[in-house]
Amino acid sequence: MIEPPSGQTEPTPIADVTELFRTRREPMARLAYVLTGDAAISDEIVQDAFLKVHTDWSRIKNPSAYLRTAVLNGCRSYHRHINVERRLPVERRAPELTVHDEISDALAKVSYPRRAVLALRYFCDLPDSEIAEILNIRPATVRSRVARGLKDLRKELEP
Amino acid sequence: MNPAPDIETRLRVHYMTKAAELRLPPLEIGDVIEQRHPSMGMTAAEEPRRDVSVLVGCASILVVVAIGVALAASRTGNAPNGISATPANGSVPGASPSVPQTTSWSLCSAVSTLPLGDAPDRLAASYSVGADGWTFIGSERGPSVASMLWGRGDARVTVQTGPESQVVPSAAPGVAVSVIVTVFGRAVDIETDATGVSHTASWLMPSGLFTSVSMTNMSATDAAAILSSLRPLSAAQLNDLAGQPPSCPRA
Repeated sequence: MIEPPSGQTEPTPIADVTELFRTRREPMARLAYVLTGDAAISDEIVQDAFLKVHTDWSRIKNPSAYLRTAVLNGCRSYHRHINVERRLPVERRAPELTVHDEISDALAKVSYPRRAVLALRYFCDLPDSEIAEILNIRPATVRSRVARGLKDLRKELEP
Repeated sequence: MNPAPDIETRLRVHYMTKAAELRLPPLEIGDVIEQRHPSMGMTAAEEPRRDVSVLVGCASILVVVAIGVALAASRTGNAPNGISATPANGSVPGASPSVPQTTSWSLCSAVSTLPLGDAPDRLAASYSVGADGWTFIGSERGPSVASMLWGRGDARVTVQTGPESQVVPSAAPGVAVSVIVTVFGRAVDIETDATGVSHTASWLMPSGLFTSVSMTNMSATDAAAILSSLRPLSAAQLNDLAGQPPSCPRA
């Protein structure tokens, strides 16, 4: 489980957070977007993540890494939420306006932990060791999730 | 004829295509704090008392535990009156759907109709990235952009195309357009940002369309050569591309 520290601290020196927001908002939103497929949700997740950074700024050693972890936590929560929503009757669900394509459809059938690892490796180009650190799992687990995620995708794309 | 791209390559192209679709509204961190967490801007005197927050938190935990116990009991046939395992009615926070943007699809259509594995000579000529041993690997289409993947050895170049209006909303059609060059991968040393993961640079071009070039596993020399070889589309090429069907059929 990814768990960024939380708690109450003094207000953030806004200039530093402002700089972080300007430089990292878009990359983080893109990461959230490839994981959620929803632009509005991605923006919300990233804004929530920046609020966490703002709150905990004085105790954060690496704001960028903290931010990324918070974004991934937000994406994971969203997927849990979606899974609950899918169990509700159809009329309560939001209409799906997203344009689908073959790989998006296939990725949607891959479990979120595997999807997150695939995005960090093939979208963010991060090495296994760094992915392991971000997700708080072992590098061997990263490799295993990548292999299984790719296998899932092949199964969907090459029946 | 080149072999079909492997799953990892397709995944990279897909991610880059998806990421290029995202358009964020302009926003400052101050707006976020003000809109989403007004209490952060309060002084100490204005802040809610922390002991009250603790009490509310404890009460919430007790309620959750009570509901959990009740639900567990209901599964064993001992549900107390008034407790139901059925989810409550109502809207789900944060579930608002994204609204697709209206776009023109001229170049996107041209790319999406290309058969996988065949080199699109016309577009290769337009962008001058088909020379020097670069071979066309495949294409991928998203809702608002399309990508062509080129390869030479282990290096990969993705040319992404899409409507100009999504990149420079304020620009008049056909007057100004951004060319976005995104460089992925640590091997690339062209104006990478602080994280070394990606970088975006923009130029204005008199074409009415934009292209985004993403590079993976690219040497700085190769990346520089490709960037310098990019050329704006000519008017004739634009007219030619604009004659494509105004839709992007599913690949």
